[in-house]
Amino acid sequence: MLLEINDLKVTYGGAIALNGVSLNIERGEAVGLVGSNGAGKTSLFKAISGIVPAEGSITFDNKDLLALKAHEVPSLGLAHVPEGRRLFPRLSIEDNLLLGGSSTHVVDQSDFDRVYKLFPKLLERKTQLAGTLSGGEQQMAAIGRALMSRPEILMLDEPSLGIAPVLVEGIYKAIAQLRDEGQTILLAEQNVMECLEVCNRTYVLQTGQVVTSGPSDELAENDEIRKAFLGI
Amino acid sequence: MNLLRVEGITKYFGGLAANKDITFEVEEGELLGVIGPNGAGKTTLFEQISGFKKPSEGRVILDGKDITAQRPDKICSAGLARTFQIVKTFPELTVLENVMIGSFHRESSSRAARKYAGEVLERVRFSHKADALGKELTLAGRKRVEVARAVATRPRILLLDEAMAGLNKQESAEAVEVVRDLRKEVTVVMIEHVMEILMPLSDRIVVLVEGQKLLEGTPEEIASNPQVLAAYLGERFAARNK
Amino acid sequence: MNVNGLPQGSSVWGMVRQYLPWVLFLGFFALYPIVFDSPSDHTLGIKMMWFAIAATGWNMLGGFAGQISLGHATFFGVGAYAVALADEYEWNPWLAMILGMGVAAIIAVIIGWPVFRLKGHYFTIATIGTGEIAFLLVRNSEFLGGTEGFLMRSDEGFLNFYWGGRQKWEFYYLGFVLLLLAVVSTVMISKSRMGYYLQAIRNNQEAASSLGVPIAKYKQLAFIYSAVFVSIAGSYFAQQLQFAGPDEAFSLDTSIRITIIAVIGGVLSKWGPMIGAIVFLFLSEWTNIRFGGNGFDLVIFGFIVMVMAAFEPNGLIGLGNRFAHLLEKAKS
Repeated sequence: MLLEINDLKVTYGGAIALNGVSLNIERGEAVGLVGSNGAGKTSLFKAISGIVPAEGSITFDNKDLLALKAHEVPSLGLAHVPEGRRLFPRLSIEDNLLLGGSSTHVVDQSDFDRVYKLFPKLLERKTQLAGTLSGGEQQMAAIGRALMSRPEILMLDEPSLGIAPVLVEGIYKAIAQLRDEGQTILLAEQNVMECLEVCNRTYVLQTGQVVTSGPSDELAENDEIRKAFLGI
Repeated sequence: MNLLRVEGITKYFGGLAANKDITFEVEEGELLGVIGPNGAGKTTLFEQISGFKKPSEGRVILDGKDITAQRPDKICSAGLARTFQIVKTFPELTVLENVMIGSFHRESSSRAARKYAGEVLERVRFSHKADALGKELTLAGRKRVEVARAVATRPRILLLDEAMAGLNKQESAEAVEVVRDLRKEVTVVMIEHVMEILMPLSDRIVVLVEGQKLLEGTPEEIASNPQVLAAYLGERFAARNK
Repeated sequence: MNVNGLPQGSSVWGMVRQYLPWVLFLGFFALYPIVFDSPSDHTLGIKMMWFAIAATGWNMLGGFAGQISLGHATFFGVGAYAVALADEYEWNPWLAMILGMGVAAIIAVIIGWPVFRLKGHYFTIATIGTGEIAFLLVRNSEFLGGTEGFLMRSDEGFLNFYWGGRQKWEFYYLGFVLLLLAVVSTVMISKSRMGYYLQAIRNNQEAASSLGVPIAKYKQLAFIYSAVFVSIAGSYFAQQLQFAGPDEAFSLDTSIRITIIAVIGGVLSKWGPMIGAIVFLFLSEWTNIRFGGNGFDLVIFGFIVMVMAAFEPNGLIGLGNRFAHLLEKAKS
């Protein structure tokens, strides 16, 4: 097991965000996480990345993540692409990518090649400042930056948020391609179909708890997901 | 006749419309749920109804009287009370004193205000915490105090802004019971993210998406509506479930 | 009322808690001139009285309602000048004091009306401005004695607000009665709707207004109350000194002293201003003897206020309560 989460609890000043979530990911798997606003997707990501304190256990590659500090997590091979992307707006795409890899290893041309092959658009615009990109292009750059660290696991938080439908399609093609290359992926989404199609397995989160999980194609067939989102 | 009528409420922040032409009515005795994804403009709508923000356009009519953009304390006098999404318990006052601030609205003597506050705490099942300070409470406790305080002003209509968010299962079950009790005596409009709670509780639901009213209807109508499905689960999921 | 943040128990300990401050403070102030019976002690005691009255008045607005004013010298000055003018034109000083209270109230309304419609720290900034304006107006007004102010020649006697003269225990007790008046009315207000509303305003204005509290009106009431009692302190001050001048009565320095006394004692308690007055007086006498009367005491007090703000916003009363909590914990 590459990532194993057991009975995870996260609270913010008394407000419960996660209430006993368990989840695991095998190497090479693409795992989805769907749930409406406030279900706890982002909190789970933040807990894995060590940005918020949590109770329970998170084991990554046999290491106890909760015992580590936030800045120690990326070098283990977890790359988190946060909601809203958070690029360095005044740096070029190329420099943003470079920064993504340089904290973990010496970046070489093959790292850039992998990203540019995945998103040819980034190659065309590599000297452009990140802040001047469209939302979809920024998302590509953010995913690219995360890939530069050669992550064991790529964590994507709502990559379709605020992006035009045409570009969403492009981003999901790239995610599928990464999956096919054997990249381990944890994907949080509100757009349920996109998530079910790209992920092998999916967990459904509702008010801080996993209400159901299973192979994505099976989940697509039953009504659980709709219930989780809309209550009835 | 309806108790509350929201008429063409529109709110611009700079050039951005947080609410666009929202119209709906609340009948006396009803429990109306307001749902919508993050950023749909639910809280902004409450802020305008309760007088904390001035609508750019539109009117708020309470029991036939225009209360648009009146001061919050005047709106409270007119019979509308609210709670806050980000709780605003008085930290240095005890629970009983928190509720007294509400009951003083209709009682001028401290003795009467204290007595009524005690009764309200009884009703919302929180008497056992009467002497605790606001700052000592858990989130669930703070939310309960907010409800009690608002009820103590003896409103005809109560606006609850996410009174259950962030609570654990048991806490929110208790809060649901409290709301079930209260709604027997007062009209309730509630914003809630937790659908499994709101859906069974509501008589009717208004759905806001991107600042606009998408539709209103019974919980069953809402849960099977393709537009709602699209807003919550994505266009493609909704299309497939048609 | 639970201004100290301590639940009141019905136990003996709770009773002691409730009444001990009354016994301690009033006992101390009542016995002071008997225990310390030299004229210079009495002068000190009289000073302590007007500090305590002024800070108690200031505290209704600054403590209960949480609206920090740095312009209360204006009201102090109004009280002082009211009796000084009475002396000049041979009116009765008591009546002048009452007239001064009325003028202070009117000025509070004129300042408060526009300012309380603003949010945030505008009130504090505005009061610095209004304080300075009043100071300059008085200094430049010939009718009000210009930069010189007024020297007074009161005749001794209760009716002349000069009972026993400036260094006598009788005059001290006049002040004690005025202080009692301030404390008792503060206690009564704190137990009334107004007291609760002011605390709600200090705690959270938005929540208060959602519960039907007319914010501006209650701030205004607190402002009037505090202006009135600070003006009483000003009248008492001028009667003792037999002098009223702009630098002594109307300056920012005076405003800051009043504020510091309340803050040191602890703004959330009705007893805070009195503790503040006692501590302020003795520390400032001590520094004046040790370092000369060059305002060095304010340096020390500035430092104390900074430390208080950082560690115990509720002042010495807050420290005392913490200590009591520890004691209780140790007991159980």
